[in-house]
Amino acid sequence: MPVLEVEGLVTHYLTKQGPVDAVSGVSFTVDAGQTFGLAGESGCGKTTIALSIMGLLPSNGRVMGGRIILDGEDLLGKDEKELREVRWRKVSIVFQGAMNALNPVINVGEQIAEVIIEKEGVRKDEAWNRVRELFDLVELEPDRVTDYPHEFSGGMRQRVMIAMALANYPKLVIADEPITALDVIVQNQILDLMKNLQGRLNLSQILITHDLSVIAETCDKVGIMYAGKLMEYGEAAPIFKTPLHPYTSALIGAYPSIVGEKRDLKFIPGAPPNLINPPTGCRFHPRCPHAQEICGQEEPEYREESLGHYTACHFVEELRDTLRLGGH
Amino acid sequence: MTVEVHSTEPIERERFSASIRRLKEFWALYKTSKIGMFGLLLVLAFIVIALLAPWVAPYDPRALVGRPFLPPMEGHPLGTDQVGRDIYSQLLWGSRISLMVGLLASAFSVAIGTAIGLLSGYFRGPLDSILMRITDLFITLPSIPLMLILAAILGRSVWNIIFVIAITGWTGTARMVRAQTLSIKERPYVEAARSVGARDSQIMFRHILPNIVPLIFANAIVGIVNAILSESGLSFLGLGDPTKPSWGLILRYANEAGAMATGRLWFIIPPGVCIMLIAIGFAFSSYSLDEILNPRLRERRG
Repeated sequence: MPVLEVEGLVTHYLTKQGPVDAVSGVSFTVDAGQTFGLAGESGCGKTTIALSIMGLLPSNGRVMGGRIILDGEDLLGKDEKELREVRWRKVSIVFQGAMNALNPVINVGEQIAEVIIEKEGVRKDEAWNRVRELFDLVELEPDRVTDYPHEFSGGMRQRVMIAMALANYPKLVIADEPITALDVIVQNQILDLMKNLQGRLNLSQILITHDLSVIAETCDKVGIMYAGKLMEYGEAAPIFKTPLHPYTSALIGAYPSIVGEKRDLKFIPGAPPNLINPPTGCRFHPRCPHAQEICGQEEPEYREESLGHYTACHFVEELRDTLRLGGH
Repeated sequence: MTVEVHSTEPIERERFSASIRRLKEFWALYKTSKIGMFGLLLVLAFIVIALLAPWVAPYDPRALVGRPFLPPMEGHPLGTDQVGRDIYSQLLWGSRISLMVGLLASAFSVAIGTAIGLLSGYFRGPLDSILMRITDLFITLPSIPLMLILAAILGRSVWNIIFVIAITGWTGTARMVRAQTLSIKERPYVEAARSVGARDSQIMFRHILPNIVPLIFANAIVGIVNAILSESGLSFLGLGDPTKPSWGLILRYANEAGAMATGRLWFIIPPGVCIMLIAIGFAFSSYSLDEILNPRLRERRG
């Protein structure tokens, strides 16, 4: 039973130079209790998807098409007031950069309690008790609820952010680069915590990151995004073992592996395209080492190659063996 | 989730003791600043004088208590003015007017400036344009002639002086608060608050305003100095309340009596020095307050 279904989502940013095709036709589902990983380079539309789901796009952002079904309700048909009911109660977000997402002049407990009171209209003492419970849940000392953000370390602040995201016991938590600015050991602790919470609370998660190793470690399903489109989507294990798209393979090749033999890291030449005028045909073709003439002319069909494993490439069959061997 | 249920009472107590702790930390930092302590002592001294004026002043400042133009002597430490009022008593009572005008005018002008800056910076759009053009208008108005005209129209009372100073002094605060609001409005925590469903008023007063309080505070103290100086100027020009002794008014009497030409320095120097000292007191306090409240300056102190 999917908690979230996104179908053919198209989101544009209206700018003076013309609309930016930030997300074009993205579909995925997140099942109850599962983690969906969304990976890709900066600017490929990961955060835009998150904001589209939350209904928090900046004023020039527009959802142009598609459906977002959360827990059986279509979010795109809702107005701001109805969205407020959904936000935080059903879906919440851990913002990018916890360092800045907490108000420096209000103590953290109050910031969380405010959310609870705002959303549920409970009494103050009840809200504060919940804050203490949440602190306990994210493994912070409940006695520190009255401390201010600067009195916490980066990792602890991220825990506070997670506690805040869980304040109203949502079904789905979107974590937008939750560990990016943290050191590796703390990253690991936060990931463990999120995994642990997921099990205890039967949470569904969307984990947005550019770090493939994190996705490989924690996610059940993966979507690899490039320039506003999903290049490949499916169960995590097969994607990492037998990537079907040259971009996925290139991304995997760009990360070092701790196990296995030492090898040179392969970078992907070029930069992501300007989405006001996206490349014709396959959006990855200008940077793709296997690109042929057809790639620049025709957009490859996005289809199911094996059960639940989708990709969009003209040469899936031809490249199958090359990509598996890590050749790109 | 098995956490024992707490009542809010310990949390309230905790928060109270936490704010006491922070206050102590603040005081410990403030104490290390010699300039700040000097300023604070000056300000406190004037406050004490102002509060005790009725008891420490030997005479009613308005009463004719001796011959005109007495030089400093026993009973009249600073002599008497041209109609025989005790200058020393006027000086002590004058601190009340200076402090009152300084504090109130500054409070009003900072309140106006903060409200306009906050609204303008938060809502942007047409409201911003209108409010900022009004601010520009007030900035370009020459403030001293405006004060003279307003004071002349409104009549001579302390409250009019306060009003005039407040109405001409809020523009700087408005601009600064607006700039800060623009910056803070875009911070992630404001966005986070909005995503959770905080309303405009909540965001403005709960999330943005507390972040600019240090700035407002620093502005207010500078405003006090300005207000005190303006009040002295207006009183000197004869636009103050003639029934309430103030330092500017003493200087006015001194000027009218030709004290400078006749060498009656005890008539001129004490009120001048008082104006200077109280201005320095507030300026120095604000200087070290700024150092403490502005973390960037604090770091430099090491």
